Amino acid sequence: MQFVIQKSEFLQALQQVTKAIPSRTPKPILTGVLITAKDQKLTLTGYDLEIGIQVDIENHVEDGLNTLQIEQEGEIVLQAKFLLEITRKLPHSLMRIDVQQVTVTLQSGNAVFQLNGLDPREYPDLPIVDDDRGFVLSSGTLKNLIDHTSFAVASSEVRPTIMGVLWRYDEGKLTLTGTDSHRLSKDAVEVESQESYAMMESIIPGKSLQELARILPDDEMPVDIMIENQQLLVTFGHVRFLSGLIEGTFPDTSRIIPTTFRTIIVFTTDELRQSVERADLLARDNDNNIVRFSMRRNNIEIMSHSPEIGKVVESIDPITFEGEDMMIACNARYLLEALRQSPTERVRIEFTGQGSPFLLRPVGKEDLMHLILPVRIANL
Amino acid sequence: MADKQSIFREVEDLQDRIGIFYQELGKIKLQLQELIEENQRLSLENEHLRDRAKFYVEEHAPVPGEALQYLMSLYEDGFHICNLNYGAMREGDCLFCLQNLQSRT
Ligand SMILES: [Zn+2]
Repeated sequence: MQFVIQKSEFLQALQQVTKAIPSRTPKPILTGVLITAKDQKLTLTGYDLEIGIQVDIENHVEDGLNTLQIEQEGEIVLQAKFLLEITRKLPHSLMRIDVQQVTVTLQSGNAVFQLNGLDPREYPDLPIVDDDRGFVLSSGTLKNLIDHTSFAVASSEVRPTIMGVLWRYDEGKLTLTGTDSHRLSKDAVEVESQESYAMMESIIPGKSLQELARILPDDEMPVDIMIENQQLLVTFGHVRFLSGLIEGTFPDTSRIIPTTFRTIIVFTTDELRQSVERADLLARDNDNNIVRFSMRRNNIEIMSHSPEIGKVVESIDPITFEGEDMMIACNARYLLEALRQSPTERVRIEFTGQGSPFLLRPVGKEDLMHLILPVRIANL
Repeated sequence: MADKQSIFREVEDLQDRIGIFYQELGKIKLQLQELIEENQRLSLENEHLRDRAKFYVEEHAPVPGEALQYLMSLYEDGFHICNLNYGAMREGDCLFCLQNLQSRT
């Protein structure tokens, strides 16, 4: 294998695929990046058996120069960590890679590295996903869907199904739901299915989705989404992202969301968030991160205290207040995380009672909702 | 001179490996601690479940309403009564347990 490539293109692709490369693994070959030169195309692959990322690089002309020239096809596996550090520090804007068996010569300017590669035949095959069925979203939309829901998944492995986000496609609508059994977040979007996908439900690991969100561009780039053979395949630009699914049944959440409310209050999102952040400074020190809300028509107060440090009380003006007075205590972290994923100027909070979950809805974005179970307190 | 160099490198290498070994040891220690805690939690859970089972075996067939009472007290005692994790100890309230209770009342 032999090729010359513009360093910046190689580096960018390498940075993307290393998100899927484990730093330690029982299978040492996986700490490497698979580099394949074929059909005038260079492909980099990172895979940890759960997440796989592949980036294609093709030649184009920049300032009258080719960005990629493949002189001889082939493939090799190189230690990703070292290759990344070396590439960052190369002295010239071009780099040449020359592979003889598994010995790699990397040259840039006057620097010549000789690296020991690994046998590409040992590198596992990535799962194959048929890419003829699926749906298309814009990258920014998918990123938002993931950000709005994946933070709420469970982190403990006791209940594996809720470590994932439920993707449900039904009648032209894709709905994502994440929950850890104390709170639940849900967002949805209208999508066009390329072919008539019947109703579909899959659980995708929250961790995979967070990695995906990190490499999705924040723009309108179209993204193809396929779910087949227990795999998710997301394709955008020159990137293919693969993730395994979680097997099992996601709990039924359809009846958990309350529909009748006793108190409905609209807040300015930023104001409420900042007040809760202040209350959280002391709440962080108590057992369940508890902040209390005393909500009266003419006065809403947010309070928290730490037995050792002290207490804080802050009053906040709502935009509107409907219904009865109410006292609620809840985990400040859950509330803050929900508020940080509420991208509108105002939020509406709908309370059912002290022991029932309350809903936080960004005003004007009705598909998005966060549900939080309050903390029961004897002497509220 | 060359020998000294190579001994020095070997010592450095050994030092690196001891460093890694030490980190590994720290991790295993943490894991051990988690396992001990898990074990304590499970023993406690087991004990509770045995009590419950005994209570149930000794009682006669449940009359209507008794099942709900049983579930409620099991939940209040700190166990999940939802499909997700029935019988496991819970931390804090659980949306799915509450849903289960509510749908029965
Ligand atoms: Zn439960």
